[in-house]
Amino acid sequence: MPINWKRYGAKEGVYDELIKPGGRPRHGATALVRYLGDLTGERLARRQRAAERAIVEMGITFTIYSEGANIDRAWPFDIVPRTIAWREWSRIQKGLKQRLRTLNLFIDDLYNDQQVVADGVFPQEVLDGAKGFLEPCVGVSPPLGVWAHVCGSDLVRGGDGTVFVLEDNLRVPSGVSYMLENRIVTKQVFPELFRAGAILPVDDYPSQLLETLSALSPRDVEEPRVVVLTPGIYNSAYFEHAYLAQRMGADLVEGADLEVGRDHTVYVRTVRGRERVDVIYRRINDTSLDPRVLDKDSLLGVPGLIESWRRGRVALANAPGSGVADDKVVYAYVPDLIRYYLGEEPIIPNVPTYLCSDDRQREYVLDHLHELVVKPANESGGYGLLIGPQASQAKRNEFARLIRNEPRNYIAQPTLDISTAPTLIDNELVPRHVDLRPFILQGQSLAVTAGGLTRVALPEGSLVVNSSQGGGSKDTWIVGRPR
Amino acid sequence: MSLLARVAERIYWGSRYLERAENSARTITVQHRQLLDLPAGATASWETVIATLGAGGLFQERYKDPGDKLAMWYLVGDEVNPSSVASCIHAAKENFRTARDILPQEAWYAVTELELVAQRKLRRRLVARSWCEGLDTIVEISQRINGLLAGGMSRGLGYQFLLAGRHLERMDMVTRVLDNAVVRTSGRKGSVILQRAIWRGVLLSLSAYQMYRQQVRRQIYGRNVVDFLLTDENFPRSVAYNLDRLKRAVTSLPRPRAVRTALGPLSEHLVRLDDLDGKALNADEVRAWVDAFQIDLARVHTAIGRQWFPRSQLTDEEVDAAI
Repeated sequence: MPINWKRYGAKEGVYDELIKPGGRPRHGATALVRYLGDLTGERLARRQRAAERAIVEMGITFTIYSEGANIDRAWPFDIVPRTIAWREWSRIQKGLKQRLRTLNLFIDDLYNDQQVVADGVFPQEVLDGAKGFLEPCVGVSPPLGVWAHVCGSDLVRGGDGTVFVLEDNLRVPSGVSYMLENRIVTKQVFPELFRAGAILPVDDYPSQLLETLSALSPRDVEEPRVVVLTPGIYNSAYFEHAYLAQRMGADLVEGADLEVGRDHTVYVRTVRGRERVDVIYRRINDTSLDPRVLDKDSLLGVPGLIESWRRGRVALANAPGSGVADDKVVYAYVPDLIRYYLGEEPIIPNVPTYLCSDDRQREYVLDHLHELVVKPANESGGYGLLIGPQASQAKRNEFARLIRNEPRNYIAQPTLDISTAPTLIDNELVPRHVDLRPFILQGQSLAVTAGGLTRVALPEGSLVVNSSQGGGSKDTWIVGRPR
Repeated sequence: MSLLARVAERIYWGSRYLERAENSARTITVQHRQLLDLPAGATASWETVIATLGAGGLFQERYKDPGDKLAMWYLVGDEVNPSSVASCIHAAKENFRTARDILPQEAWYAVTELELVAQRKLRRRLVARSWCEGLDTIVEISQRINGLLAGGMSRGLGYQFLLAGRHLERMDMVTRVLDNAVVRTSGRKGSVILQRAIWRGVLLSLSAYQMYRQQVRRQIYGRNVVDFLLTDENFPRSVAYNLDRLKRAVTSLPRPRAVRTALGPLSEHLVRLDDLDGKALNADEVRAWVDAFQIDLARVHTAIGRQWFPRSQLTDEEVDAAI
C-alpha cells in the first residue's frame, strides 16, 4: 500500500521537517515526499536493507569499547533524507559563520588582553570557573588569530519552526565522516532523486579541511606536512580519524609516532628517519596533548608538544584551550559576545538558558526541575544530564543537591519539543526527533558544510540522538539553490 | 611521503602472526591425523608439537596431567597460550587493524573473517571436530589473503615489510619443525615405518610433500627431507628460498646496511651445510646447526626493529636535554 501522508501522525505542536500539518510537503521537500508517497512500506524497507548491507560492506563503523574488547558496530542509518530549503539554509550558514568568528575573537581575547572582561561584558567569576581555560595558553597568538578551526554546532528546531543553536563543540567535534558516507549510501539507494542536480553536494569537505589546515603551516612550503593525531583504535571515532586522514592524504599518527626535537620542532618517525611535521589535526583532548604540561599520566600525547606550539614551530588544530568557549555557561553569553565583537545582532538565537550561578535564576531552576533539562557545564555526548519531565523524583532531588553544591557547573534549559522527520520503522514512516550538526571551518576564510549530520532518536518519543545511546542518522539535503 | 615506522612495524608483525597461524594450523592438523594412526606407546605426542610451537613452559605450568584433548585445545584455542592459533589470529588482526588503509580492502575483510572463524570454531573448548574444520578453513583463508596481497597490493615499502615478516617467520618455523623431527627420530627409535611417518608429517605440515616428491624422487629419508627443506632454492617454504627473498625485500628498504650485515651469518650457515653433505643424518649436528641458525635469525629480527621501528629517533644529546 502506498504511503498516505495524511495519516503520517505528526505530533501536535511539533514541527516536522518534511510534512506540514495536514500532510502536504514543506518547501523543498515536494519532490522527495511525492517520490516516497509512490513507494510502499515494503519497498522502502527493501531499500533500507540494501543501505544497511552497503554500510557493512563499506565498513562504516563506530567503535564501542566494553569489557576490554572493542566492538565495531555498523553505523545506524535511516534512508529517508531530511531536507532544508536553500533559502533558510543560506541564513543559517551566515549565522554559523558569525558565531565561529565571534568565538575565535573571544578565545583570542581571553588568552591575551581580556578586554571583554574589562569592558564588563563577560564576568570575571565565570572566567575563573571555566575548566576549559588553560594557563599554558596565555599570551599565545596562533596563526591567523584563529583558535578553533573546526567547529561542530548542534542545531535544533522548536515547535514554531525557529532554529536554535543548542551547543557549540570546539574541542574535537566528530561526525563529519558519517555525513559524507551517508550521502554515498543515499546515492546508491535513491539515485533517481539526484539526477536533477538540485541537491547541494557535500563531498568537498576533506579538501576544504586540508586547505584550512595547510594555511596554518609555520613553514612557507608548497605542501606542508599535515598529520591527524588519534588516541588510537579503541577510540569510538577511530573510523573517522582514519577516514579523514585517508581522504586528505595525511598520515594518521598516534602520540608515540611523534617526538619533539631540541629545536622544538615536531617530527614523525618514518622508516626513512624522522621528518618534520607542520600541522597537527589533533583528535585527542587538550589535557592529553602533552604529559609535560597538562595530564602528567597521559600516554596519548607528545612530550614538549605544547612548548613547540607556543613557539609557533607547529600548528595545532584546534588550538589547545579552545574548549574554554564551549563551556555551557559561556554558551549563555554568546549572543552578547556577537554584539560586542562584531556589532551585529545574532542571526541564530540560543535556546533560552538559566545560569545556576545566578541566585534568582537558580531558584527558578530548582522550582521548575520537572519541566527543565539540566546540563553540566563541561560534559559532552549527552552524558550527565537531567531531563526533568522524564526523570524520577529521586533523580530530580539528586540534581537539586548537585546544583546547590556546585552552581557554576550547571545550566538549565526548557525542554524543547524538537522537530521530527519521517523515519522508517517497521515498514512505516513515522515521526522521530532530529537535530543537526553542521561543521564550520575557519582558517584563511570560513566555510560551512552543505547541511551537516542529521541525527535521529530512533525510540518513539526519545530526544536523545547520540549514537552511543541509540541514535541513528540521516542524509541531509540542502535543496533549491537558485542557479 | 614515507611510511610511518609504527605502521611498518604493525605490518611486519601482522604478517608474522598470519604466517604463524597458518603454519601452526597445518602442523596441528597433521599431528592430529597421525596420532590416530600411531600404535599405542609411540613416541609422538602433543608435547613435542607444543615444544615446536614454542609454548612448553607455560603449558606444564597450567596443566598438571594433560590428556591429548587438553593438549590440542591448548594449541588451538586457549586464550592463555599466546601461540595458540586463535591467539595468533587475534594478534594478526589487531596489528593489521591500524594498517588497514595500506592493505587492499578485500584482504582486510578476509583477516576479519579469519577471526570470525577462530571465534566460532577454535575458541570452543573440547570439540575436536569443530577444531579440525576450523583449522582447515583457517589455512584456506590464509591462502586467500596471500593471493589477495600478491595480486592487489602495490610493491611499495609496506609490501616489503609484509614480505620481510613472512619470510622470517617461515625460516623460523621450518627450522623448529626440523629440530623437533630430528629429536623424535634420533637414536633409531621405532621402526622404519614410524620414522618415515614422522618425516612425512614434517613435509605435510610445511605443505612440502608433493614438491619434495617431485624434486627428490626418492623414498622419504630424514637426510633428504632436511636437505630439501633447508637448501632447495625453488621451494617457497625452504630456508634457502626465504633467505633469498628476505634479502631482496630488505635491500629495497631505505638504509638497509645494518640489516644486510645481520643477514650475513644466515647465508654462512647455509654454506656450512655442504660439509654435512653425503653423511648420514646426525641428530646432534643438525640440532647444533638449528640452534646457531635460530640465534642469528633472532639477531636479524632485532636489527630490523632497530633500523626501522626505533622507539625514538632523537639523538642522544636531545634525549639528555629532554631529561
